[in-house]
Amino acid sequence: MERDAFLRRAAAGTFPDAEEVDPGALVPEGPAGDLVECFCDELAAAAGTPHRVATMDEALEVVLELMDGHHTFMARGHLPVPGLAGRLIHDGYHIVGSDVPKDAGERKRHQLDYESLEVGITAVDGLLAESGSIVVTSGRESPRMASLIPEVHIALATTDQMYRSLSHFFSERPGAVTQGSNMVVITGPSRTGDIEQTLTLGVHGPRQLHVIVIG
Amino acid sequence: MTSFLERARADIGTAPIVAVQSGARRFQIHRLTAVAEYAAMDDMRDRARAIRLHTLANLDRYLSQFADAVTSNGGRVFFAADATEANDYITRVATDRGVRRIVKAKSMLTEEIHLNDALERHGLEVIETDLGELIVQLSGDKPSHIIAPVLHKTRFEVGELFRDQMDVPYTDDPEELNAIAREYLRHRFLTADMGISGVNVAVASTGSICLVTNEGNGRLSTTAPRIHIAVMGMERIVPSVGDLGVILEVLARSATGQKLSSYTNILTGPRRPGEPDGPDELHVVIVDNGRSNVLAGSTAEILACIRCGACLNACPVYKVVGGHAYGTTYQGPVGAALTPSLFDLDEWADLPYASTLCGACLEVCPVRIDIPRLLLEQRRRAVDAKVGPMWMKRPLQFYASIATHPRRFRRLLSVGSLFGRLVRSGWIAKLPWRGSAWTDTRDLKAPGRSFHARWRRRGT
Repeated sequence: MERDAFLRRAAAGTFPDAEEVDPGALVPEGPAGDLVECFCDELAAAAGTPHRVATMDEALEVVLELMDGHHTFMARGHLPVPGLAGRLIHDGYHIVGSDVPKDAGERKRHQLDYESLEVGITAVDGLLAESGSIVVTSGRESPRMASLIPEVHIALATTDQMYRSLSHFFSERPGAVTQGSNMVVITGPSRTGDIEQTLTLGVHGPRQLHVIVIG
Repeated sequence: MTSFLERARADIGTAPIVAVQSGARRFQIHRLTAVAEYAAMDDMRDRARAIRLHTLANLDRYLSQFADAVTSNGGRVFFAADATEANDYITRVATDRGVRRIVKAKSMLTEEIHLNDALERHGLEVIETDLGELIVQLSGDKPSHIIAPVLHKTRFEVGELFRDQMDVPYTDDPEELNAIAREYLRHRFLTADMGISGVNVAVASTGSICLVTNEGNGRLSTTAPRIHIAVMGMERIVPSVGDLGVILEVLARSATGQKLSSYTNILTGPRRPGEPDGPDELHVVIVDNGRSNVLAGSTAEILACIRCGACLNACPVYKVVGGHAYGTTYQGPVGAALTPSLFDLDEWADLPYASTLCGACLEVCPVRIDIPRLLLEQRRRAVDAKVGPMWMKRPLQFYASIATHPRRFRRLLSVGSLFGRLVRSGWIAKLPWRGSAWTDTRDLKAPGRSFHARWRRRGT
């Protein structure tokens, strides 16, 4: 259908009481007190695993522990722990390439490699205390697949990335949504309750979500 | 076509309905807990309502802004007047680009327009990837709840289905069934040419679309394939990112009792130059299919719905008859209020009667849609068009002829006192004939003395 004709049909709505209220965003107060503690509690409640560490070295230790028993990982760009990917490669872990070719056939062949991917390591763009969520945006150095395909997702964050709630994040970082082609707010690991409402983790996305909060 | 009553009679009391009942109760408890913990809930519901009504009142402006933004992000927009236009467009994109395999994230709208049938007619392989929707697809069933499609199925049925359809050993352990589905779908995701999703909320100012899922299939379907097609109802939009935040804060809490679903996924255009992954093509198909008629009519408020499913879980009728009795894509109170306006009034005129008008749906609605009022309005429309269930007509005419004449009314009341013989200590334990449908399962409170009688005896 022609756009103009369609839009004319969309102009049919009349809601006498609709104009009276200013419909803009509302930002509720959100949680108070120690936001990092609140974040960690909420993440645990959402079946994720928080790790609170003081230094980069401690963060690296946690990553190395979590990598134990796995063989492959995906990581890219500037992570809060400098030199992390190099260290893992040095320790004998295999890094899976994250550049997906444009050609249809090559794309599929490349993506089939992801079936053997075990761990994805990413940075975050924000932490939400109220819900225990992490915000991750896609970008040149931030593939979407790293937080999506592997069974284990390790997210590295610093305490200064903390926001009270999703509403606070949107109001303080309005540009984040359109910074890349994708922004995802992740709250715990992949889950379903579709079969008799029995909570099951790791349906299509990660079964484990570890968030390492540094500082 | 069968009527609501026929479908409901066939289902009531069966095992699937018992499953629906306990599922809906569990959803209700989760919602109550989440709402009690969130002090801002009432304010946010008011704001969410204001945002939705404001958008609907200016829908042409916001759709136009949205379409421009999608285009400047590098996506394409197609306006579909009805199901045929939408299905034709999507099929054409698929066949033009040599698509063979399509993965789909959960979308009620694509159920409504029967998109899968259209694609399969053209020899395309379509795979539902939401676990519930996959079970529905493999069993040739229909969803029974807008956010939990297989609320009516037991794990034993799913076990048998997977054994028969996927050639795996039988198990009824949900963990194992889940692992089977993950395995089954994984390489299908990675080798699909096209991903099709719905849209929970679109943002006019940025041209973004938001998909809310728990499983991650919404993210995979919109990341792995080279083409992403998002199909959205024309009403599914808000003005700004801040408004999106308000909707998201009330959506998951009302739906599953989560503060936020596992994945709140916001997509703005296809992958950009330099980005390592994501689809290279994005098409947004904006569908009318009867919505502009609803918008222009007396039940337009129902378009404010954000599809959380809370009204289904709260509804005493839904919990007794289950989702299939409604016979439509959208079940429960919202379905009964929407369907007769969206589609043929003639065919769906009995749905608004599937309600006790108790108001539970209004009480839980995150955007405070006055569903009881809309159900009454639908009944009025049906009566005006002379298509409603007409068996109520004669009894009501009889009642009106008495209630408008005081003398007749008093005489009937004295006849009513004959029931007194059946009364034991204020309760009637057994009624004859059709009345037994009530008294077989519970006692009936006997009518007390009439207002007139008490008024006459006042002060004595």
